Amino acid sequence: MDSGVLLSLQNVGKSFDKVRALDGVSFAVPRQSIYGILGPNGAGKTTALRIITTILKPDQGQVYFNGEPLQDRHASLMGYMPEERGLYKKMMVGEQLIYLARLKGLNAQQAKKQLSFWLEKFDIKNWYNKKVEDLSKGMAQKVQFIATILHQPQLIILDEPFSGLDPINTRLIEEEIRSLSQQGATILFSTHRMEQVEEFCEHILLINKGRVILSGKVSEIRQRFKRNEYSFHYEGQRPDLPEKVNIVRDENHELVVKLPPQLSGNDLLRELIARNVHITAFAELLPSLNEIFISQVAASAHE
Amino acid sequence: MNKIPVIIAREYITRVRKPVFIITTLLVPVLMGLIGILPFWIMKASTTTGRIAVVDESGLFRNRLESSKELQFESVNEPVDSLAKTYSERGFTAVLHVPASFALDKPEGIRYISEEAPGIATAEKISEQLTAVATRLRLQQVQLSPDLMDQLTKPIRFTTFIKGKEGSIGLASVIGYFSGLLLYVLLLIYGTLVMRGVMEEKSTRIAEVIVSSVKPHELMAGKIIGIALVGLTQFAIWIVLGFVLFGFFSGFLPDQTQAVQQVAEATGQPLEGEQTTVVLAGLAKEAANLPLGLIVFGVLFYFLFGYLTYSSLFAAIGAAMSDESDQSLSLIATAPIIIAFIMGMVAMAAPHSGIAVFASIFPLSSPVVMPARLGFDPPVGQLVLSMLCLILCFLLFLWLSAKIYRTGILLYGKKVTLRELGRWLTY
Repeated sequence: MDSGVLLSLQNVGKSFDKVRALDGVSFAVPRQSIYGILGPNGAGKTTALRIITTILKPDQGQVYFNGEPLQDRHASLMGYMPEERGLYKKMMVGEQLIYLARLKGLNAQQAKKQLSFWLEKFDIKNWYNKKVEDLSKGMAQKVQFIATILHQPQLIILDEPFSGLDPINTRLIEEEIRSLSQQGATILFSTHRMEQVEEFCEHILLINKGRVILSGKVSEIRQRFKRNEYSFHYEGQRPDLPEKVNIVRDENHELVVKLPPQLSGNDLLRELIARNVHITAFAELLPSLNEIFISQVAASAHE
Repeated sequence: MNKIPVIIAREYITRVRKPVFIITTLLVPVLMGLIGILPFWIMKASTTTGRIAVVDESGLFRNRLESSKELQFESVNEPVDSLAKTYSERGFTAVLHVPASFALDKPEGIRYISEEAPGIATAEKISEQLTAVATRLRLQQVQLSPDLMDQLTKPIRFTTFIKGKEGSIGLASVIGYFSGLLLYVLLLIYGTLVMRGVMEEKSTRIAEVIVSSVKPHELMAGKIIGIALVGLTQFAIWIVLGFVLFGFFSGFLPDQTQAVQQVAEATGQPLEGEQTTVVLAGLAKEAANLPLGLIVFGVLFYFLFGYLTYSSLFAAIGAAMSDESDQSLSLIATAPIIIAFIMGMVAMAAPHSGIAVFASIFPLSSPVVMPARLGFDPPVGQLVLSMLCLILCFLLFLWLSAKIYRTGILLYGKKVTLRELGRWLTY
């Protein structure tokens, strides 16, 4: 087992009645990475996370944590924030967080110490004796996040962590996730918001209908799915283009073109310069993850 | 580290700390008392007090009907028709008309005239009085001496000997009734508490956070045990309260009975107080002959296992319910408890009937019915069988419920059919 890998799933499958929620899913989460699981609703993201958190048992395949087959005791090394957030409404914030930390194996003293650190950090010390039902939604989200990380887990699992967050809290949580990652934690999260994945994750996994569609480093994936499209800005009249070059878009002196396989970006540039076109900008267009996501999901739907 | 104690502590502390705990702890005995007294009270309430004008044209009953506190008879020498119009203005409840044609060998034609129908107990009492007078008159006709007459009409009482021990069905009935009632109330209260606790965790979605730390069956066990401890705490408070109250009353009770006895001895006259002494002495004797140890053990055993059985059922139902407004599924658990209580009442009336024996062995009703039968000294074989069945049923329910529970608590916003529940057992 690669020591650089904290968590790996090998050929994991899970069915509910006749629904195949996960079908032979394999992937590896590098230690200290920020790893995003993407997929449309019903793709199996939550089922995968529930298997990793030991809530569900897979029907087939194996999960390894720290190189060992996953066992119940590993649950205390993970922090899990489910998509459906949940806290006891009638319980006070402080008591509740200590209770949840104790369920993760901390003793009362350790839990209190950690709690006062985080309450101070988020500047919410005066919430200690507040009931959760008296908190606003944004406040409850902060409490939920603290509950997830209070016991200093090695693996932090966040199911749709940014859904329902206002921009300020989103920023706060993002910063916390980054700093926890720098301190050595591994972050695994699911989302369907691509812009976040692009700025946030090094690694992604795209699943649909319980199957892995693609996985790897974000930069590599974008390279793999490039469509040989280029954009350039010009002055004066629209230039004539070489044969077999298709215009995708033409707006405000910007052309987006798709090249045939035998032509490269350099070939195009050379041709344009030879035709005395005055070029002010030139760039290769890589597909956004969003585009890859949609095209791949659509492709897998036709299979 | 085992986390069940942490869960138990939370379930226990959050409940005991609530004001509602203190309130129910004080209220349940009061409620029990009220429910317990209700039948007697209803019986008493049906004896409407009344003042009855007797128009006796036959002359047979004149001044012979005995008045009591509740029911007074007054002879009135007026035509019945006019009295029937004016009786209520003159403060009578009704007119009892004995026609001139009434005779001992043809005892017919007596009428009760009123705007309101008499209560069952009142009607019974009037009929009793009339019969008693008529009986004495008949006996007089055959020229019996008053002494002999007294002997003839004296009611005869008997003492019951159960398995060689003197006892009475009186105290056994009362204790049986209260034991059955107590178990019924406790199973419903604590079962519902478990169900609501599970529903709270499901509807607030905290369940998923918790089962990522502990196993669902640990959460379920912690909740059930924590709430059982709440119940036992309540028990303990009741017992302490009971002892305090008992000590308070018994402080002067014996002195009083002694005083009554002394007065009775001194005057050589039976006092009204003598009755109290006799009743008290009788109760003490009965209590000594009742299997009190068995009853206390039985009530605790059936509370514990009845609670465990039903609360696993309630926990599964709580997990299967989609939201708090839809409580129809809870009937699956509450209906058997209510039926068991009714069967318990049947068992009180006929403690050794087939239905009583069945209901005290069948595990869904035995926690209520068997305690009600304990005062009647059920056969040991039945008792052992009943306990075994209950323990087996508990284990079966626990196993089934744990399966439904672990699937149900993570299934949001979906109404579950019974068929789906069945399928969850295979996950």
